[in-house]
Amino acid sequence: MSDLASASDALLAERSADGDTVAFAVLVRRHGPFLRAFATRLTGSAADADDVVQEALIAGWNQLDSLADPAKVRGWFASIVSRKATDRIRARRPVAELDEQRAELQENGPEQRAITTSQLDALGAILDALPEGQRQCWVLKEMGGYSYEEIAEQTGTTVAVVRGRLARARATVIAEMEVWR
Amino acid sequence: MDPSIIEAAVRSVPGVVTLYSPDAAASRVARQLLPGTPSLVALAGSSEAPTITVSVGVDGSVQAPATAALVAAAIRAALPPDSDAEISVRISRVTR
Amino acid sequence: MTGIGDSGYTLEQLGDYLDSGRLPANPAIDDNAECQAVLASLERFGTLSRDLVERDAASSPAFDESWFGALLAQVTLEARAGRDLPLSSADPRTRLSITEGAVREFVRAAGDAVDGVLVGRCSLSSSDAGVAVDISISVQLGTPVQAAAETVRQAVYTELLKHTELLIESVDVTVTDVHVVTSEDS
Repeated sequence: MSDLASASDALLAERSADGDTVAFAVLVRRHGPFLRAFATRLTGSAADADDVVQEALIAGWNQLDSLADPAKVRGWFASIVSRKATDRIRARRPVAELDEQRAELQENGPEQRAITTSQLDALGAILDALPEGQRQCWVLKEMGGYSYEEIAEQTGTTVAVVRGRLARARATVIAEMEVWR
Repeated sequence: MDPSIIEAAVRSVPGVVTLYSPDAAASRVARQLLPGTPSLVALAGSSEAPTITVSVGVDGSVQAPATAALVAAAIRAALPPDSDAEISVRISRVTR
Repeated sequence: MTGIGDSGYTLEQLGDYLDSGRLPANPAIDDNAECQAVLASLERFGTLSRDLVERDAASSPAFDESWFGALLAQVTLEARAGRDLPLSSADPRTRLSITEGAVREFVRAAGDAVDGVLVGRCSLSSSDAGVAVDISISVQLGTPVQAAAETVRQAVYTELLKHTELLIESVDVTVTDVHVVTSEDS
């Protein structure tokens, strides 16, 4: 038999849906790092990210039957991560504060970031400093590839709110990446 | 009726690899536990009409239905001769 | 006219335009140099974002084995046993059965044991005519597909006869995938 490690996502997802824990373990090893990086960008905390991903993977395991297209298992897990991350973020602070600047990160202003050696680092720092709600929308749109409707559902808001937050995030990113250049 | 005696009788059957928890959630859980844990043998019913349930993992080199029947017979043999117990044997895994 | 490059369009509207794949085409935006510059920047930052998360993933520390172990322990608790499939017994006080989960697992193992084959989905559905078994498999590149599928069908049928008392109506094997084994798969 071939090693399960060479199997496609779709095959591993099908076997996992049928109860194969070994196939599930292969999926977790394969996509775990991305899911944790995604969760860290969403929650802004590596520790929270670890918990969020573990909860999401367990929830996903229990709901695998509802995955319509097994080939899309990574994105499907990412959307569960996104919802769990939303819960985690809300547990930290009231909803009203999600649009406020994260004051504690303001000391790393655009001029400071201009000295950063890499574009990726610069973008990362800008995203870290965005208000929570805007950062979530950016991460879900640009890293997750989700639609406005999907983002609204995952964050428990509306398309109008998502559109507004994304626009404000984009304005900030454009302005601050310009300084970096 | 001593569950550990029943458990030992089940383990002695050729073809039996291990016992799983025969939980109330019936088919929902197949969790392997250490020998001697009472919950590997589920006892229910009254002392006159007990029901005994086990969940086993078996060796695929032997026909599973045959192993299941042997397990039931082993449990039956471990009970008092006049016992009217209902025995339920569930095969939860067949390993190659 | 206001908006970006005096096009009359705001950043939010340009974002909408980008997100809808620049369709339907809007010449007021497409022909405006500043709008195009902004759209190009937005696209670039999107790509950078994806690079960023991929870089984060690639540079993350080695897998935390205890985190992984705790996760798998949770997952193993729900083994998807499915229904109990009855096995006959001469003694009316004895009830014998095999779970659907056990059947699916040994069917998978039988298919996996065939050279170059990996089993995907295994489903059992019963009707008056008996149980229809449907299996999807992936074959290793280079493996003759028809022969592999037939070998799997025979192996699975044999195992079902051996370990169950199901009336098998059919065993269908469908090849839905191809895989390549790299020398260093771990």
